Amino acid sequence: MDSSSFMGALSATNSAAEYYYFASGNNNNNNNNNNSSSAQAATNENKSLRGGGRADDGEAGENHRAGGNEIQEENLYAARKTREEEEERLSPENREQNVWLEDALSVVKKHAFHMKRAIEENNLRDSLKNASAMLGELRTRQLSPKRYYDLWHNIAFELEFLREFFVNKEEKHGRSAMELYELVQHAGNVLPRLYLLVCVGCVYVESREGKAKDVLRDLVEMAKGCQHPVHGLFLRAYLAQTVKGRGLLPDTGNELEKSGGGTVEDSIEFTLSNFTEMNKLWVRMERFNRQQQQQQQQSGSGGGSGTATPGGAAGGGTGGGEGEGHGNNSEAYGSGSGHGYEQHQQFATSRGIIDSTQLERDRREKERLELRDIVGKNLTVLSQLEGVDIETYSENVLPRVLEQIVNCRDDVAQPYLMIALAQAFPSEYHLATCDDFLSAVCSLKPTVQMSAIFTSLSERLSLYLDEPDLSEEEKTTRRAEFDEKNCVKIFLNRAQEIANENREMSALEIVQIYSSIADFALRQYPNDVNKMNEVLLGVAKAFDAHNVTSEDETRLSMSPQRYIRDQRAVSALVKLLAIPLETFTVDVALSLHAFPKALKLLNPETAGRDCALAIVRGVLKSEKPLSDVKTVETLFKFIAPLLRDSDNKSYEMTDLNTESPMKGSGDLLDALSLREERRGKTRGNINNKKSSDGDEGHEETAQFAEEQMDVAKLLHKIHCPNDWDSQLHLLKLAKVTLFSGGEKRMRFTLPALCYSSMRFAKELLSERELEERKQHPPAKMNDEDAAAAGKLMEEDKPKRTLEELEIFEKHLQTTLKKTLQITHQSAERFSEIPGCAERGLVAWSEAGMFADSAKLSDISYEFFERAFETFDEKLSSDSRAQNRGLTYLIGALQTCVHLEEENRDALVHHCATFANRLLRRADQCAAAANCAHLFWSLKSTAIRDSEGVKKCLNKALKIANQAARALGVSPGESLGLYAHVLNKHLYFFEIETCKAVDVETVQHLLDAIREMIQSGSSEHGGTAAWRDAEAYFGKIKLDIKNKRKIQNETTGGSSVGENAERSIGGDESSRSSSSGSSQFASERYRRLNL
Amino acid sequence: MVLNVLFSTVPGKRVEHLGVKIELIGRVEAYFDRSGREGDGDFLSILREIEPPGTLSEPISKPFSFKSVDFPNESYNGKNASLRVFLKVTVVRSYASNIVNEYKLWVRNVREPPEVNNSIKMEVGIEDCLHIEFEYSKAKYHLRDAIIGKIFFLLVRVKIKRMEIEIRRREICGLGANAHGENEVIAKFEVMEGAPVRGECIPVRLFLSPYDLTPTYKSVNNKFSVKYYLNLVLIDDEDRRYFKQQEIILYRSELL
Repeated sequence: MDSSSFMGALSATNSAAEYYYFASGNNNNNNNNNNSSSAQAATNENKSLRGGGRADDGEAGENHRAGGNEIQEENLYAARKTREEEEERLSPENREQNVWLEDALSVVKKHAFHMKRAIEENNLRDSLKNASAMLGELRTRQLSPKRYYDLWHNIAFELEFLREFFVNKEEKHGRSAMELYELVQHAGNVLPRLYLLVCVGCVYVESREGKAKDVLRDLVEMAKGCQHPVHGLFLRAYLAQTVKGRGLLPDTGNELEKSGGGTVEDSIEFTLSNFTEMNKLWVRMERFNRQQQQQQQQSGSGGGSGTATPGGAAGGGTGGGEGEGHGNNSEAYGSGSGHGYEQHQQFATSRGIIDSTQLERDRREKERLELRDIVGKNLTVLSQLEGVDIETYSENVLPRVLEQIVNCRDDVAQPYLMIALAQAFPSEYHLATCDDFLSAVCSLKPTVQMSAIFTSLSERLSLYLDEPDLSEEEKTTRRAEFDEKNCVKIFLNRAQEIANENREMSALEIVQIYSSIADFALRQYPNDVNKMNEVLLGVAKAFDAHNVTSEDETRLSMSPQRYIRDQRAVSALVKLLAIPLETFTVDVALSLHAFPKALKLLNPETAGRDCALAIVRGVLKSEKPLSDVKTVETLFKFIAPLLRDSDNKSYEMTDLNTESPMKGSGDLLDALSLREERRGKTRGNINNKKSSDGDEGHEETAQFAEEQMDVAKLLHKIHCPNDWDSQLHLLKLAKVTLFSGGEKRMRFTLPALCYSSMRFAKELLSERELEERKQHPPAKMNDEDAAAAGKLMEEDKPKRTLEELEIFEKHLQTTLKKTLQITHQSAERFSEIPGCAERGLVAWSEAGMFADSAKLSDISYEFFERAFETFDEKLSSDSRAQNRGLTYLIGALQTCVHLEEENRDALVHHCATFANRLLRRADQCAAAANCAHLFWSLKSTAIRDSEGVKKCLNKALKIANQAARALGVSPGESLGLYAHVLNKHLYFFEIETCKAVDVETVQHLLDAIREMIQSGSSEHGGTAAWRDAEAYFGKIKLDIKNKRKIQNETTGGSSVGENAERSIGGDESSRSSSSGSSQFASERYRRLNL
Repeated sequence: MVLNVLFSTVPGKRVEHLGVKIELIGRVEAYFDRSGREGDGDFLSILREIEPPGTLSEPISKPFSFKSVDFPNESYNGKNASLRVFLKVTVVRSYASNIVNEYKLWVRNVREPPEVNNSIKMEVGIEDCLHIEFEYSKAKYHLRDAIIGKIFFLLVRVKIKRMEIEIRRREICGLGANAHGENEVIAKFEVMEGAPVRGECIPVRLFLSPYDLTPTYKSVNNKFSVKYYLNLVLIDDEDRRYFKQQEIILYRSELL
């Protein structure tokens, strides 16, 4: 058996290289002597390495190189390829690689051809010889993994021919498989030998000459001879692929097992050890890359300094050895990770080196990633073994796989393999071993992305329940099983552990882990709030543990609140917090006790606010009112970032029974308002939607306003039907909460409080009304109706006794008063806010009006008093606002009929005085005219003072006259004033009982205006004011004409006043007057001379 | 066994002789050792007269035999030394030169497997650079044996490119101060490629049958020895070689 031919592929060794004798303690490497020879040897080696028994190497290379250039030029002009592709082609590295690959492929082709011919001739020797030569191409170290794969693929294909040849033993080559198995091991080079061995090994097993388990064990063991990462990986991939592909793994119930080839244990053993070795090689690639880079740098720096450093490898050697101190396990993967970096720093003196090496590293890292699937494939193979049941998996397979993964301490391999493991095995396996799996996750490197692993596992577990075509019964049993395991709990425990143990873990990662748990929990328990609560609690706790130790220094110097700083982590957490809001109803979500804790992790200025806002909007969207005290309390806690400033630490639930919380904290509030004032100045008047700030500030303000509006809307959600105490309590709670929010918030929120308290008061009143009506049914109702009504209204409640009624009334009274107190307080606070005086005034007047309608005249007076006070003190600076405010006040006061006369007179007097004080004549005039309404109420006969009306109108006319003469008033405006005054006159003119206006006065006014128009239209007709005034007057005339006709169509209802324009006091009641009054009006109008 | 010597003459001619003898000679020749006299290296010489002096006129066949001859040494044909066993037929003539014909014999001796056959195990290295431990299952191998072994890497601070096992033959001629050795690499067998790291264990399985090996010869006739060594060679990226040589004993267990 002559197999010296196998030696052919071995490259000639260089005798020039120096020899080192192994001897303990003999360390005198005389490098200097050997430099030149070593360098020479290196070049020799480079040449011979690719040689592999090939003579035409150089020539072929040249040819290809030339060809490559042509292709490149073609591409440039064709421009069909995308730029990226082109770049890839054009980069010298890739071109070189392509040339090498083509080179190698052509050699493979040649040898494969000879091999096949030898096969046809049944020449075993030659076929082996050529196969070996072909396989020799795989020894190249120049190709990138991607191109190596191409080469490998080609060769694996060709090897199939050889395998078939081996199978037909007797008639072809006449050797038994065992003989062949020995024969191929004569090959001198390890890589071709191992490939051939695998190839024959399969035949050996298939022929049943050898026991599968022995052969497999041998193969996987012998493959250790290849320690080159890429070579080894592909060799083992070939091994796994062939063994699996030919069905050579003994498995429970398969033929191999029956024929005594081994058990599934052997298959597991085989696959696991192959997996382990592959993983080691794969992990080593990374170290290998690093070392190579380091050496490159060394040679770079050495060349620059001009001194030939004695052997780069000496440095590389020490670099490699630095890592020896680590644990045993990590050693198996290659040594010297730490030192490599140090040297990196040392040598990378110029920036360029770092950049280029960084690029290089990225590229290598990418290359490495491309190989991951062939490592993970082993796990799939394992999962496909019938004999691997849950028990075997948990006892034999999983622990070993996990051990392997944990021990490899590699950033890329760990997450990938964990996920691959999760994907490879069925979900019930994971269910059974969930905890073991996760405990391994805990021991991974802290820099590993664990969240992805969590997600992957949880998805896998979910599949257990969601698997399609499951019968109901199965589903229930599975569900029970699932619940029993309590996976979520396990997840949480492990997540906590991870957070506790890995200090340097990023916040983002922690949040993401919990997010994936939350997803999982929700998917499996869509209605289980507790699970969600646990998750949120987990997050909070995780960060507690995390922060306390890792951020000690910052904690001491910074505020006691520790927020997550990493922006990505923040947004992840916001997303997590949004999950319960999206899935649960708001009440349910609000019962998550852990929510505020988690929320505290966020900076209330930014992310926390967003989150709170989401809650608010969620609440607003839901149909249900907020009626539960506890819910509201939690809600306020939840949205705390919206309710107060982050630096305002005074936020606390103060005692709700304190009547006036402001008094206690007056100093603080003063200070606050002072500060706010300063802020307000720069911010400008929000009411006018003007911002003196830049655009940026404006935007922020607008956003802030919107947020606070939403908070304000919340108040209207507070509603407890039939539970006054709770409602009152809630309002108080809201009050206290809002008051602590600072003026910039109160500006938006207090009106809502004010009005919602009033609304509640209104409800109280209507309830009282209802009660009254029940006690004293209206007389005109007959018995049946009353009974029906009573039934309808209060079906269950029997009529109250007198005693009960008393209690009811008392209760109502106190509640009402307390409610109005809230109104008072809020209005007070609100009107104090700079820039809110006008709206505060409106609030006061509204409150006054309401109190009046409730016949609480004292309170009403108080409200109006305050309104005037506000007007007097706060509105002095803005004449327009003053005008508007006064108009409003007059309007409000006009409707109040229950005020005590004395009080009302005082208020009316105020009005008149203030009207006089208005800045512009026109305003004064209008206000004076408006004041007339205060003396004549259509509702109450008590307030009908023709004299007062007359006085006011006269005054208005007087002012109009003055205005006409004044310099600052344009003729158009003046005309408008007259028209307005005329209009007011006409209002009272129409009222029969009012003696304030007689025909002469009106006629006089009419004439005066007409004259004015006639004389002035040519001169001033062009101005807009004039045109408006003319039109106004025209409408008044038209109205008069219409009203004149009324008598003719008395029955025709009142279409009166449709066109008339009356600024205030246009009570509908006065318009839709009875036909009697309109008749009177038309009669009177007819007396006018238009 | 009885063999025949066949004498054939040119027809019609007669050859007179003083007798025909046949010798069985075992001779050791060391090429550098030219000092000795003729026949000095002969360790075996047995003479048989097969024909008394007379005349040969027609072809005849004469039987001969050497009974119970002991061949202590195997035939060997090395670079600097050889051991030959041959039959030498001499037709002694008085006036003309003798007619001599030699017939080579190739001797092989089968040995019983040795009783003691310990494994070879050794930890070697260069301090702080490379520590390995290798183990070969046996120290003595028959010629169709396979060397089974493994190599542990205990410390690796150089980047190994590959590892080979060489089988080396060493012929030593002469004795003492005159001893002269010649090394020859018989086999080169790559057992590993790539850079191993600490903790790796590389299996070795080397079949001896493809190689042209002889048993180990020790001091044959005090003239020469043939020894075999396993040489473990590690080659690093800079093409420096680290090696450790270890003698193995080869023996023949079967004739094939």
